[in-house]
Amino acid sequence: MGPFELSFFVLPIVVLLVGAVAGSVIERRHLASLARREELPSPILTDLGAPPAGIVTGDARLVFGEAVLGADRGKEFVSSLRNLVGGEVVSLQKLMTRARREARLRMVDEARALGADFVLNVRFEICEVGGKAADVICYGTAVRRR
Amino acid sequence: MIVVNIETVPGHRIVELRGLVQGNTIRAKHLGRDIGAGLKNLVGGELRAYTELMTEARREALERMIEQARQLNANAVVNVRFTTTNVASGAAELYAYGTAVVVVADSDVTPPTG
Repeated sequence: MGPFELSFFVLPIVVLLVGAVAGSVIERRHLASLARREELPSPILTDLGAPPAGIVTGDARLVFGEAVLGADRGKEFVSSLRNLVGGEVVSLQKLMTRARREARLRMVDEARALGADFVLNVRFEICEVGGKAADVICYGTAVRRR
Repeated sequence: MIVVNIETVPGHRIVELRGLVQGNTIRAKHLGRDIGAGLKNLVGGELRAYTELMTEARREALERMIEQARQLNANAVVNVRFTTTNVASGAAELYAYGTAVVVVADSDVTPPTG
């Protein structure tokens, strides 16, 4: 096999395989890290726009969490195949979910550092900066019970 | 400056409305960032440079919004929202807006007599 065939046929497959294998290792590690951190004590999160009547709160402050996760080559490949036949793109759905969980955890970290009991009006915003990446901003108002 | 994304400030009372304030910023990723992200896109994982870019953009947009509120002599901004737009490939706009108000702590308000 000459160098021409090598670069045109073998290399892309190697890149795809390396990307897919490394990508799934990184994904597994991230899922384990998310699960571990979600066990930590956390303020109660809600998307209610105001503290419920009967709960007296104070010390309100806006808190944020951001995360941008890239899709690996394996996911890109699977999703491009999926585009041909339609249906749910599970690989990218998982990526979006991980990005939201990460952004949410970072917001929770900020709220916890403030000693907050609740985070009110939690919102998720998607912001596309790169190509195939999941970019999430999570924000809300951290308050303390009084 | 108290900044919240709910309609009231807990423990405070809104005594004055100063109007809508806004701030935006458009950030482009620089070349170094783009190359790093290109490598990361092979194996997946977090694109830290882009996360930092978003954090910076968010802070900048909020700061501009707060500056407007200051000029209106407000001491709080309520109901803050963020929207994002992908203006061009490689650049992202972050837009923050909210209502500038004057608040006083509940304890400072004289309770009605009688």
